[in-house]
Formats: sequence, C-alpha cells, structure tokens
Amino acid sequence: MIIKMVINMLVVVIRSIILYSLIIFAIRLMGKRQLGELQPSELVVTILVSNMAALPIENPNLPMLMGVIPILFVVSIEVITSSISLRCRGFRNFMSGNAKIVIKDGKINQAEMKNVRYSIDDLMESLRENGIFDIREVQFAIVETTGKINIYQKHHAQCVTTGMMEIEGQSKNPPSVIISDGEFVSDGLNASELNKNWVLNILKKEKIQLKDVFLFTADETGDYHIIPKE
Amino acid sequence: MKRLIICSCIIVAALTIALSSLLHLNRTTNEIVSQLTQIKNLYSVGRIEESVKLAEETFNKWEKKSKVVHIYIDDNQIIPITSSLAKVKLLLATDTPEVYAECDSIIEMLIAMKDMQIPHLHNIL
Repeated sequence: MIIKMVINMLVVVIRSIILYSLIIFAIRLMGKRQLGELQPSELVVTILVSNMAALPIENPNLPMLMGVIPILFVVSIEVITSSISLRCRGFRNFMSGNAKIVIKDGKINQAEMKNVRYSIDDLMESLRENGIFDIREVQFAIVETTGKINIYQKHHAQCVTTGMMEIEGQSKNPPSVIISDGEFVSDGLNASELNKNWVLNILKKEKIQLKDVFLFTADETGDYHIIPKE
Repeated sequence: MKRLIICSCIIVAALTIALSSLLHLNRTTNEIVSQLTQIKNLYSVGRIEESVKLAEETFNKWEKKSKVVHIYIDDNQIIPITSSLAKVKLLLATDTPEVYAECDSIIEMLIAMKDMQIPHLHNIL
C-alpha cells in the first residue's frame, strides 16, 4: 500500500516536471505578447492551458498525452490565428474586436459606454488609475480591446514638456545594461555601440574587477554608472 | 515564420498521433473481439481445451497490446478488461457457463471503448 502510494507520488512528480517544462515551452512559443495585456483569444488559451496541464497531474490514471496533445494543439492554433490576425484586419476585428471611444472632445459617449458595458464607476476607477481625479481634465478616452482605458488629457491638464517651453535639447537613447552580475551583456554592448575594451579600461580606472560588478550601465555618449557587489 | 512552421508541424503531429492511435485501437479491439467470439464458439461445441488455449493467447495478446493502448486510453477503461479476460481463463478451466456472459461483457467494453474514441456527434456533445 505504502509502496503503491510512493510510486503514485513519483508518477505525479515526474508528470509535474514534464508539464511545467511543456507550459514554459508553450508560453515561449506564443511569444512576448502573451505576457503583456491579454486579448480575448489569448485569455482563453491561458485559462485552457493551465486547466489542461492540471488534469494528468491530478489523475495519474489519465494518459500524459491527454494533457500534452491538447496544450500543444491549442497553443499552435493560437499562434496561427494571431499570425492571420496580423495580416487580415477583418479577422483581427472578429477575434479581438475594436477599441471604443468613450470620451471625445471632453464629452462622455454614454451610448458607447453601454455598448462596452462600462459603468461610470469603472470609468472613474480607470481615470484614477491614470492619476486623473477630475473628469473635466479628460479630452479623449478609449477602451482598448484588452479592456484597458487609455486617456489623453486636455491641454491645461497636461504635464509641461520641453517642447512646450521651446527648450532646445537632444534626444538620446537611454543607458543599456553592459555588465550584469559580473558578466558582459552582449545585447547591451551592441545597443550602446561600446566595446569591451572601453568597459575594461573604465573598470581599471575605477579599480574594480569585472567579477565584483553587480550592475554597469552606459549610454552611447560614454556616460556610465557602476554598482559594485556587496 | 519559424513559429508558424513549428506550430504547423505540431498540428500535423497531433493529428497523426490521434489518427494512428484510433487505427491501432480499432485493430486491437477487432482482434480481441474476434478471438472472444471464437472462444465462445469453441466452448459451445465442447472444445474446452482449445478454448482455454485460445483464452490464454487472447489474454497474452491483450496484455502486450494494452501497454500501447495505455498511452492514449484512461487506465480505468483498460483495467476492467484485463481483469475480465483473466476471469475468462478461469471460467473456461472450471467449465462454467458464466463464460458466455463474461465474454459478452468484455466485447461490450471493447466496443464502447472504441466508439468513445471515434468522433460522433454524441461523443463530441
């Protein structure tokens, strides 16, 4: 009896490892989109995949294929339909719907709010999430296909920008991570167009070794910042 | 593009596995059903020894095939068939008429297992 229990637990553990790896592979196959705001089809796939993965783990009598095949199939269908959505606007509208304008020229479109089943409480909550506590500051509000609201404020409520003040300046790219936890990050080096020798010279100047660097960021102009390991 | 190719291959592989498992199950159940029918016929004409030998062969065949069937069918459907086939051998050896009922029961279980895998409207809904 105890041996049977132990064997059963081993089966569950091995299945958990396999299905965990499979879900990671499935999420990577779907791409970064899945990890951001979810479209309706992506939400469906996420819920389905998690439920399907649980079935063979909960019930060792069920074949592993009953989890593996549906997960891979559903994820593949999702990737293919999202590729079709990229190429075909009609299909994209059918799958994800359209963004809806709920505030235009400072006026609430109550009919549109009814269409998207958005109550005034939902609207006010979304405004507050965007740091707006006075609806009079809103020029334009749009409900995206993910359900999120994006807001464009009226001129008097907008933050002042250097463009508005006519202050001249140069746009530059933000600093990139060059060294992370004692190792070079090649993407960061390429993005900042710097080379390793320059970085090593800086480290020599700062009297710090590569393995002792927790974080090293730098931009194209050579402006750098170092955080040593504790 | 790479993702699309991988996904297309996964879909083709999934459909191939589904189809081949259905064909394998169909072949296996047909073989076992025909052997069980033969066992019943042999027993009804009094050829007990031959029926016991055939029952032994059927059981061994099912044990071998069920290792593959187990990959795509729930254990809860396979275990009752295995235990009933073992019972058939015993019933034949003790010359018990219950062997007919047991064989019919196994045949029904095999047909039900096969039918559940074929996509009919009543299965899907």
